[in-house]
Formats: sequence, structure tokens, C-alpha cells
Amino acid sequence: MNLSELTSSDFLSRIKGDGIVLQTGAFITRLQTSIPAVIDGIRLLYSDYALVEDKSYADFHVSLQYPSNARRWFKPQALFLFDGFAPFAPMPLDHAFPVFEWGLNWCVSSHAHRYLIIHAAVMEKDGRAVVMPAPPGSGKSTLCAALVSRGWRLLSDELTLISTSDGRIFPMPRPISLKNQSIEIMQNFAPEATFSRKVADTIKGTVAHMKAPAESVLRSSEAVRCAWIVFPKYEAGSAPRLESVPQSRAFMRVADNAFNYSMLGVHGFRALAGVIDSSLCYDFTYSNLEDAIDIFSTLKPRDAAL
Amino acid sequence: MASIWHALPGHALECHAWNDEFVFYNGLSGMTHILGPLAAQMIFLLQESSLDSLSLVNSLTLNSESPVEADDLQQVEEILSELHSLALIERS
Repeated sequence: MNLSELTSSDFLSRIKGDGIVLQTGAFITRLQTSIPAVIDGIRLLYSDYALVEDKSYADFHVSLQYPSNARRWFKPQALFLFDGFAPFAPMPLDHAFPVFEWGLNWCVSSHAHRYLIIHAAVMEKDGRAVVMPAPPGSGKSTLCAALVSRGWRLLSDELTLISTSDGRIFPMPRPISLKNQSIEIMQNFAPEATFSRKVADTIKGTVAHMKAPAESVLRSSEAVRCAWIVFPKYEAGSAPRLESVPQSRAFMRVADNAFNYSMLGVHGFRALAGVIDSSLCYDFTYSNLEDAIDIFSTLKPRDAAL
Repeated sequence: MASIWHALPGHALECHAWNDEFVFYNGLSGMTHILGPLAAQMIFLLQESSLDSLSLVNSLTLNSESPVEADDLQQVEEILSELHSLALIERS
């Protein structure tokens, strides 16, 4: 049963009561809140997610609450709680939905150590994944959103989860986080997509979220192997340019973008080495999304390219 | 007196090679390093046995027709110093 199949009153009673339990890719998340912005965001962007009826287990028990102080009435705030503990300072109430998204990313990157977790977008086509590690400002999420709106399956716009046992990448399709100019760019590029309202003046600037395609959510249990690692870089006015990166150098750059490479020790090294072994690695400079999509459609896997 | 060197044992040092570059993971320091083929070969030799720099040059040039030159020795000693600073080799 999907969240969209709940009646409005059932949805509200669950999310405000014991919490709503959702299958968010590889994880089960229980969310409890009575903050309208979060409730609206969940209803809009998580309608295709499966409800977990067995409420006895969740990987992450999360709530968004009003802090218990006078600021509930004066410049109200929202507080993200994980297992009843507040890992972050309260944020302005208007930022509550982005705070939920960022908080859930924190839950995964801080706790899911059966995976090597890379700060990278990951998409799949024809059974092969492309991983895009990149620092903020590289256009990673915008490019990810564009590819997803043109038929690539979304695994994640932010966290690539590589199993340390078999090297497969596990999906965690969630709303794609867009910032500043990228919001309007994507609203024009993919007018059929669903976007949350813009939230201004957050720690990341103005942010909005693009809904993950229903098919990506439906296939969120299908793990896949990496075929390409692409380091994207948006450069205004540049022609699209795909340049090969030596695998050893790609290894170091991906490790630099991992949340838990050091923590996993040799298991992280082996998992990443396996991924690099199977992948072709590139630097990709672009300025135009349609050009970028064309280039990605020409990517050949290692066995076909060599 | 010349130092005798040995590398960390295999269980503490994992290596993966791509083309002519070698990525080493040092399980004792938790650090990862990229090394070129000469430095990697030196580590492999120093895992097999403890050697001083001259013996190392001799082992590296075993199949070479040319005699050991001062430049070779200097280069190997510089790499030994770097590998030591990375905690990939130790004095015996």
C-alpha cells in the first residue's frame, strides 16, 4: 500500500500520532510530526512510497517538532529529532521540510555502515549505474534531475550506497534537492515534474525539491552495478567535454567524497576497488543540459568500450 | 652504516593496481596512497626480505644489463625516505 492510498484523515492521524512508516529505498523510516510544512511536503513528494504496516521496526525514528520554548510563538523554529536526540540546532520553522530531508541524509550517512557511502548522485539505465561524485556547486543535483527527467532511473541524488559485501549499489530514491538558479532551470526543463515550494534563506540558499519519478520509487529494491564514474563540473558557456580519468586517480577522488571510507578500513578499500575495477571514469564539463544528456546517452560500458 | 628496511606485512598493506599506478591501503595508519611502479616494486621486494638501499637497487636491476649507478642509488634512497614518511616501510 502506498502513502497516496491513505485517506487524508488516516494520513494525518498517523503522521501526527505514532508516526508514518515509509520504505525509503534500502531503509525504513518512521516520521512523526505535526508541522504543516513537513506534512505537506511528505504528502506531495512521498505519495508513491510504500507504507510499512509492521510498525515494530524502523531503521530511523525521526520527528520534526516545535522546540519547547517561547520561540514557538516568536520566530518559530523546527527541531529535527533522531531517536529522541537532536543532532542539529533548531532551524526556522519555514525550513522544516528541507531540514527533514537533510536530517534523513544525516541518519543514513552517520549510521548505515554496511555500505560504503559516497557523496554522489547515482542513476541507472539498462542495468548499469553512473555515479557522479562532486562537491557542492558542481551542478551534480541539477544534472541528476535532468537525466532522471529523461529516462534514467534515480537511485539517489546525494548518497551512493555501495554494499561492502558484494559491491552492488543500493537505491535510496528520494526527492532531488535543488538550489537557487537550479530550481527554475529544472522547472523549465522538466515542467511535467512535481516540485515543492521554494524555501528561501536556508543554510544552502533557496532550496526546493523535485519529486522522484514513481518508477524509480517502485524499483527501489533493485540494486545495480556501477559502470561509470563521472565527475561533473558546470562551466558557463563551455562545450560538453568528457575526458578520461585514470582509475587510480578516480579511486582517490571517490574516496575523498566518501563519508565512511576511513571508518570501514580495508572493507571500504576493497569495496571501492571493486567498483573502480568495473567502471570507466571521466571528468565531464558542461553548460547545457540537453548536450549533457546526449553525451550520457553515448556512454559505453567497460566491456564494450575496450 | 646503511639502514636495513622492511615493508609492512601483506596483511597490513593492501594494494590494487590500475595500469602503471598502484593504490596502497595501510591498515595500520588507515591511510591510502598512490604510488608509481618503482615505489610499488620496492615495497613488494621489502615484503619478501629486509634490504638496504644498495641491495634493493641490485634487486631492482637484477635483469638489467647496466651496472648500478649513483643516480639509481640516490633515487631509491629518496623513495625509501618517502615510503618511510608514509609509514609504509620501517627500519629493521
